[in-house]
Amino acid sequence: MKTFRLTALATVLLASAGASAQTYYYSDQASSGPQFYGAVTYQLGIPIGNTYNYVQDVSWRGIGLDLQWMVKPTLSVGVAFGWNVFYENVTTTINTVPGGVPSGTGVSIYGNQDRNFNFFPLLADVRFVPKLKNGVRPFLGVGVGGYITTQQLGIGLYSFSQTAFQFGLAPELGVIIPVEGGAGIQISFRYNMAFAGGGISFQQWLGMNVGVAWGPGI
Amino acid sequence: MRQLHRPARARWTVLALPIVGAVVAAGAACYPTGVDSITDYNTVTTAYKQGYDFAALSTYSVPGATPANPGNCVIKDLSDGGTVVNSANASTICTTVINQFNALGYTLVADGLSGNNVPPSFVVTLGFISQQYTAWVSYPWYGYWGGYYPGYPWGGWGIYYPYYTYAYSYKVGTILIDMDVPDAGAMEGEWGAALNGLQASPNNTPAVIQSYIVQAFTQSPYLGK
Repeated sequence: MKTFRLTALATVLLASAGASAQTYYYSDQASSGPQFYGAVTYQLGIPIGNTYNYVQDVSWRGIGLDLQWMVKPTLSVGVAFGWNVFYENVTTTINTVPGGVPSGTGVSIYGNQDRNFNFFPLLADVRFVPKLKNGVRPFLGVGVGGYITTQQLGIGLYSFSQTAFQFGLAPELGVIIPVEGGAGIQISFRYNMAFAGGGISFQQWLGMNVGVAWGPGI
Repeated sequence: MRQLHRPARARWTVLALPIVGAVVAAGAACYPTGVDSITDYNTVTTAYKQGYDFAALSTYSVPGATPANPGNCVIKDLSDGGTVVNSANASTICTTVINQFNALGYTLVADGLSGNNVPPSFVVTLGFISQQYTAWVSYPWYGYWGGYYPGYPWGGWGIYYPYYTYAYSYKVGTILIDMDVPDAGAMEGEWGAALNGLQASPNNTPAVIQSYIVQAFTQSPYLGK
């Protein structure tokens, strides 16, 4: 089901970009140097894999900041920062204890649990970002860098947390729609992958980001 | 020259601020919570020896309890050196634990103190620990509207942030159930349960205590004949 959703989202985006691509790419970039554009986005996160196994609820708490510079008419480079919080409250039994148990001993803990992930993406971004005749900029990008990840478990009267830096990769598909006066709307889907590290397993989620873009580069 | 340097400095400031912000935010990560009642702080922890054949066991005894009077078992207060717990809930704890072991197919026999000379397969002991905690919490940000003073000394709009400090204490109670198989004179724990929670209503009612004892057995499917 998840695969179908992802495929459908990607298809819609590509189809819209493809329809407009019947026109030609161009850029009205000034020759004075790389033009800047940025975006502040609200980010919704759909947990996948290990992230889903720990927190099944969709993340409604997310914010991001993208800073990009056009280095070629259809190519921009920059950075992406964010803060994504995944949270779920469940009452269930877990068969593990943070820190482990002696060998040969089985453990179960039942109780109300607060499960949290805090992700802080720190990515270097490169984007293929053509500009269509109508000014719309579909883009395909990839972010490489890392995630500062904090995983927390609160159960009963106790709370455990660990923080680690995880190397990360985040392909992204989106569009910037200019509105007026150098400002526009940025909509994108970013697939966040934080590779296992520092005691935290491989984490991944699909970010659906909507926000305001601005700058002479759009 | 300053004109040339300004954009560069501004750019690095723009780059540095989110990084610093992320690092600071990581230290103060957001941990939402869904705890909204006393019972949400309760936990039931069970531990067992993996690979042990619990089906091979048949009879058991609980100090103080007899088949005719299972509610009379001894619960030791481990927080004060081992006096016998004598509360209204003691009988509930005893009968619930014994009912659960009986339901698993084990047979309660009188202990040695009650005149039984046949050693049981295992012995169940019950204990209780009560611990008092005290904590202090400061709220420099507390009452952000409640502390608003329309007539603040200099007459303008102002928000007064009173500095409150609260001290509070709470008791944490733990009921311990141990299942031990006597082995060549030694007592070796094969299974144990710890029921942990705040000593406050409704945790101190028989119905709640009973439900958490039952939970300890529910999450231990390897027990039983």
